[in-house]
Amino acid sequence: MRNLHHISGPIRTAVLLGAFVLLCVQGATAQSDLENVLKQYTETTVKGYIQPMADLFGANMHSGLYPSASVPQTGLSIRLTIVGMGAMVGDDQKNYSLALPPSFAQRTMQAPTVFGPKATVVRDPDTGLEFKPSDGIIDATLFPLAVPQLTVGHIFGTEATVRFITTPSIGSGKFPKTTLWGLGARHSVSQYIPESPVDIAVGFFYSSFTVGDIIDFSGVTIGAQAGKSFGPLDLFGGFSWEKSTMNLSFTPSAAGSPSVNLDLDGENTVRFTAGAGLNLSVIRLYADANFGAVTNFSAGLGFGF
Amino acid sequence: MKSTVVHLLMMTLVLVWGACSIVDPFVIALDLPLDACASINDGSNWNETSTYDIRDEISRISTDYPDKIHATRVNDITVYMPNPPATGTGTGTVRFAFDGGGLTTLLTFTNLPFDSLRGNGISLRSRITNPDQVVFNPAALANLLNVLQDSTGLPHVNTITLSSSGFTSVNVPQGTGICARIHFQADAEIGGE
Repeated sequence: MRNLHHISGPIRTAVLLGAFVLLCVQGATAQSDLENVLKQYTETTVKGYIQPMADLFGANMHSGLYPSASVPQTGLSIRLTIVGMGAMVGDDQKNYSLALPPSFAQRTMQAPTVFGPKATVVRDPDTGLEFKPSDGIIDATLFPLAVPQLTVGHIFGTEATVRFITTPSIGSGKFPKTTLWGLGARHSVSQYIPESPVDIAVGFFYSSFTVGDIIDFSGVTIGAQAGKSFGPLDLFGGFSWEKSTMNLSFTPSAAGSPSVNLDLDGENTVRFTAGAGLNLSVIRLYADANFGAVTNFSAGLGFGF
Repeated sequence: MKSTVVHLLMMTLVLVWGACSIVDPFVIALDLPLDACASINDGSNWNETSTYDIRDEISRISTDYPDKIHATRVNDITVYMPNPPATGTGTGTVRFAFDGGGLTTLLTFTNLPFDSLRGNGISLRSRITNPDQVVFNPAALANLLNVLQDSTGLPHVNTITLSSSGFTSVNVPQGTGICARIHFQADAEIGGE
């Protein structure tokens, strides 16, 4: 930390935030033990356990993409932003109905999802058999994600954004390598409407996230934003269509079980966004709330010009 | 002002991440089916014996896990045919032994239509729903469950041998098989060190 003192304030803050984000992403994403948990399930039973992650991560992937609705027509601009997102984990995303083995008189049990509590043992009184699913692994009221993103503009009222972060396997293989990347563009619509009282833009973004060897996310969002600036304060809102898919591909650990290759769609397909930002010259801050099937929030801290 | 805003944002991020953590410790319920699968290709008889080292079965998932087991259990006992012929019946016996001891009869089934061996096949519940055709040996069953259902760690046996033998009422085509399975589970506790 002392070695960072000779670096100027905003850059030092960016370095610290970057390190913080790396640490947090490693702590918040899947790990090899998660992969081993998934391998205890079949194609039929794994869906209930992991679906909430598909829903929440899918919603996070498409958040925090813009700090305002304004996209200048011309002028070089480069901005590096650390974006943090969090999706609310609902109580209904902590348990699911899991079919019990054939010999149990009780046909189903409430089993924990990946966000669920400790699992309990179910005992069949007629046969003496016992069954227990795996515990939930992530204890969360808000499921987070963080990523640095670089935005470059502007040509004909267009800017491009890329996101990328990769984290190595740590903890003696407990956490697998993760890689997230995304790219997209926004284009100013209000430039074609000289008298427009507000800034209007449209854009798209594609994201991909790989966790270890068996989980792959991908998603795309297309949306429109409108907003207005009041001095350094930006107010904006947006509407977008999105699709996210979590692909699970693995062979269950139980010998002879058929391989699983399953696509789970995220619950969010449309979202409304409301947000505000502060444009403080080199530093740009923004935060927004997103409402759809999944409610989530994002905030960004950007440096650039 | 800028540094205040930045610090506020960092505190917000810390709070967000504070709302999410990896559960420590957590339990993976390992699915460890113990099978005796026999081929009855182009014939009408089968006889198959398989022996499992319990630690080895757990190590197949992770070599770290055998030392992290804190409970084991049996969640079913089934006999099934993966691809049963349309017509015919099967009659057979399933036996087991611990640590190389003598085989003990666990169950017998008599003249079971192939159709009832489809999918999950017959299970321990079949002794209640179909007592005329599926008979479990109560003492052997109690011993099996007593040994393999351990709430303190690995069972106090190292190996289990499962044997399945019997015959069908008709010659079955190539590719026909029959399996006896003990659905065994072991809880590996991860973290908590």
